[in-house]
Parts: sequence; C-alpha cells; structure tokens
Amino acid sequence: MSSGRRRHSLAYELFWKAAFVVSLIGVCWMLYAATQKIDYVWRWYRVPQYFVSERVIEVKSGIQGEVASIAPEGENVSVVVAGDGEEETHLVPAKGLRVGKGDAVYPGDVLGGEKKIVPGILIEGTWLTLYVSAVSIFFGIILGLFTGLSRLSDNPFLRWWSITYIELIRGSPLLVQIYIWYFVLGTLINNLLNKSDLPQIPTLWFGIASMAVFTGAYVAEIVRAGIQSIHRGQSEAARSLGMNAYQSMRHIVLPQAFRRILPPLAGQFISLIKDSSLLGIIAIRELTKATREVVTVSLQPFEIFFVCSLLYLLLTFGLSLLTNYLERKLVQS
Amino acid sequence: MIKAVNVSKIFYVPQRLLALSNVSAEISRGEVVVIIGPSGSGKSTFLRCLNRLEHADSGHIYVDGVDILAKKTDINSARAEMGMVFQSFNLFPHKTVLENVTIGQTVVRRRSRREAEDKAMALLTRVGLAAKAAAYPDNLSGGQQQRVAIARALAMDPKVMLFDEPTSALDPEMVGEVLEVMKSLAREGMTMVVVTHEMGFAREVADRVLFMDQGQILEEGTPEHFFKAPENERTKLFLSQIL
Ligand SMILES: Nc1ncnc2c1ncn2[C@@H]1O[C@H](COP(=O)(O)OP(=O)(O)OP(=O)(O)O)[C@@H](O)[C@H]1O
Ligand SMILES: [Mg+2]
Repeated sequence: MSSGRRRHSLAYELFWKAAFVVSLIGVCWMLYAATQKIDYVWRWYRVPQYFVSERVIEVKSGIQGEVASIAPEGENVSVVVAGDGEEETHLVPAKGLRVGKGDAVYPGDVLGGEKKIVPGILIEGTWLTLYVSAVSIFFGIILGLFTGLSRLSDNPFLRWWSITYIELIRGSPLLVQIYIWYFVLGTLINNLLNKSDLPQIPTLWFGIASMAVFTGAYVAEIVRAGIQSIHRGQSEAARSLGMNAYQSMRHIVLPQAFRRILPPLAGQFISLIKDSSLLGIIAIRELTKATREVVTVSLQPFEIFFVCSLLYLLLTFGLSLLTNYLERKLVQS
Repeated sequence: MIKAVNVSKIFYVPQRLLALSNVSAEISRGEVVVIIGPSGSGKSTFLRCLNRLEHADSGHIYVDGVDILAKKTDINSARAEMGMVFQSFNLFPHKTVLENVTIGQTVVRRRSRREAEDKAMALLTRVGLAAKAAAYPDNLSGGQQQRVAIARALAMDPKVMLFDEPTSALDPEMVGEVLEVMKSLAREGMTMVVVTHEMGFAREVADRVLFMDQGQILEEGTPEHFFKAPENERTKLFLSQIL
C-alpha cells in the first residue's frame, strides 16, 4: 500500500501524527468529562477481583466427638474424628490445620482450611469463549472442506445437498439459528434421548453445533472459491501424470488453494469469535454473558464493558497474529 | 501404438460445435507425428482426447492396446503411460523443480523418494537444468520451465509423449533449447505426437505430418510431400500463410 502513497515532508508527517494523538486523547477526555457530568464514579480497582478471586475452602466436621488421630499424607493431613460409635476421616491442608489431637469438636466446627486463588468470572468467560470458538472452528473447517468439495463435485446428490446447506445457513441470522438449535433441535434430541433412557446433551454442545454449522457454510464458500481460483491447467497436469482426482486435490490443488484461502478464513474465524457472544441467550456463560453478570453485581458497567471489549480484542488479535505467522511460513516453503 | 477410429467430439458451450468429426489416425511405435493446422481446427482437442483430458463423444481410441474410452479402463494408469507437455507448462508453482519431477513418481508410480530423486536428477541433467533443482518454477525462464515440464513427463517412463504447442508461449530465443530436447527424444526412438507451428521441426524430425482443419484430418504424408507438393487446397493455403 505504502508504495502508492505520496511522500510528504517531515513536518507534514509530524503535524498530522501529533493531531492524531491529540484528538485521540480528546475523544477519551470528552467521554470522561461526560461521565463526570452524570456523576459516574470510576472504580477501576473493583475490576481485578473478576479476573482472579480468592476463595476460602474450609473443612468442617459432620459429627460430634473428638480428634482421634492426625496423620500426614503428602501436602495434607488426614484427620480422624471419632464420636459416639461413629467415625469420620477428613483430608485437611497441613498448613491450614486448626485442631489438635484430642480436641473436642461439634458438627460444623472448622477442622482446617485454606485460601485458594481461583479464576474470576471474566477469565472463566474468556476461557469458555475461546473453547467454544476453537471447537467450532475445528468442526467448521472439516464441515466446510467437505461441503466445499461437494459443491464442486459432479455428483448431483453431493452438489445439491451442499447448495441447500450453504444457502439455508447463509440466508438466516445466526441468532435465529441458535434458537432453532436450542429450542427446536435441542428439545427434540434431548426428549428422544430421554425416552430411550440416554443421558442428555448439555446446552453448550447445541451452542457449539450452531456455531460450527454456521461457520461451515461460509468456510465451504471460501474453500470453493479458493479451489476455483487455481488454474485448470494444474489439475490437468496432475491428472495427466496419472494422479486420480483425490491425489490431484491432495498434492496439487489444495496446497495452492490453501494459501489463498488463509486470509479470508482468518476473517471468518475472527467473526466467529465475536459472534459467539450471542450464545449468552441460551445460558452459555461465555465472555459477554459473564460480563453482564459482573455488571449486575459490581454496578460498574462502564469499566466492565470496556474490559470485555478489550478481552475480545485480545482474542481476535491473537488469532490474526497466528494467521500472519502461518502465512509467512507458507510463503517460505 | 495409438489407434483412433472415427473419433468425434462436440462442445456445447458456448454453442454447439463439432470440434472433431470422425477423425481416424494410426501412430506406430517409435514414430514422430506432427499435427499442423489453423487455429481452432481441433488439434489440441484431438491430442487431449488421446489421454481423455477431453472425453470423445464417439469412436474408439486404443493406446498400446488399451481402450481409452472403455468404462472399465483404469484411466489413471493409462495416463501414466502417456506424457503430456502443455503450451503453458503448467508446472506446480508450490513445488521445487526437483519436486515437480518426483511427485508423479512417488504418488503414482510409488517409487521411493531416493529412487525418484535419482531419476529426477538424471532427467534434469539431461535437459540441462540440474543446477536449478532447488529453484521454484516462477524463478525460471519460459524455456527452462518447459524443459522441466518435459522432464516431469519423462519421469513416468511414458510409452508415448504428447506435445501441445510446446514452444508457442516462448520468446523466440528460447524455442531452440526446447526443440533440441524434443529432437534428442525423437532420435532415441520415443513415440511422439506433436502439435506445433514449428515447420523446421516438422521437416527435420517428423516421420509423418497430419494437416487438420475444421475438426478433420484433411491430408497426411511425409514432410517432403507436404513441403514440396501438398494436394489439398486448404493445406496449400495454410502452408503458404505460415511458411
Ligand atoms: N473446453 C472447450 N469448450 C468449448 N469449446 C472448446 C473447448 N475446447 C476447445 N473448444 C473449441 O473447439 C475448437 C477446436 O479447439 P482446439 O483447441 O482443439 O483448436 P486448436 O487446433 O488446438 O487451435 P489452436 O491452434 O488455437 O490451439 C475451437 O473452436 C475451440 O473454440
Ligand atoms: Mg491448441
């Protein structure tokens, strides 16, 4: 791009770069000033607790009696409480032990405990978003590759099914598709499973299915376009060496198509990460739903929503770094 | 070696067109046959029908006793016996020169990597490009690319070589190097079918020349016959235009 750009004097460059920085600060300041006008109190210090939180885990006695024995067991100690003809064994962290041998204990008495650092709601939400996206991308690629190839097949059965699938999925909003997966297909499948005494499928998997099937249709079109962009002479050369259709695809056409497919594919997957925010509506606690919950308890919506968008930026930016790296590797080989 | 009987081919797109109309020809082992004719006369189509890159609509084609058009013929193994060289080279741009020459051997002939590379290096040496083994096709001149394409086809140990205007896309100064390789092949007794406008090549190497026009073979004979005393009016017209 920069090759087509005019060269300007240093003063020109510096002036407009400074103007950019100043206006950026200005926009932020105006936003801040506006929040001051409505007496919004910024409390950034309340944010970290939603990333990591401390949880106190206590081991309590269930019966009345006395501590019969304390025996070390690795990092923990096993505490035996003996009562009136009954006995209980508890595993307590050695450092947090709060009773001694022979102590009398009553039900609910704390034998020991420890503080644990656990991930907060926002980290859990980010993790779930990442997980849902990764699994959906994986199945989306498989589905898209298969559908894209079927779309180009001579076989009308494969071709018509792939066209039907692609058009159906691309023709309706993802939100509606998530509802269909959850309320229609989910209800059907889980009721049928129930009737045959099989375990239910958790909501999460209907969410993942909706995302994977949605992405698959777009990946299919990207794959199709990528394959069609490879000149016919390539497969003709491969076939005249005696390769069959599969070998020609595998060794000659797909590797070349893959390089052209990678950038649009990355764009598709970045959309997918962002679209996964819709899964909150079927009670999957991904990042956006987690954020809304945090907003309700923290009462600091401004900070939390900004943090949420930054977390999404982190995920999408990570993905584009990864694809840039892949692209460079492919060009080298 | 090759026997084509009443081969016809119709294209329906963009409109109905009889590209080959009852073409019959016979090519014996070790023979070099050159096909000439005006643009659009069906030369490429005929050549591509021989290895079924185009599927003939009627007629019969036998190559080394194999009925190319029969349903039960394994066309992939039949094609492996026929080398094809294209006007636009069609080298695999994502593979090095060496890999271009080994890929068919390892995938189709199931040769070991070692064996395939030895064979590839021998062939690249033969076409004078051993030094370019590690290069990518895009970094080669047209003439070099076409020589690699010939090596790629030869690596399969074909019984016949089909050439479709192998020098038409080349700058004039590169035509010679490709023709040299083809001439040496001919001298070694390779069966060759060559579509070309290089009359010098035809005169020097061809055992027989076929003249095609409007989907038919109008005249055939030795090079001397063609260049001294062509009979057909259209042959005369064509030759007067290009010579
Ligand atoms: N795949 C195709 N679809 C439709 N028409 C085709 C196709 N291939 C060739 N034709 C038509 O068939 C006729 C014969 O084409 P062919 O390529 O065999 O001619 P040619 O003798 O090789 O010509 P040239 O010297 O230009 O290569 C032409 O009119 C061409 O337009
Ligand atoms: Mg042609």
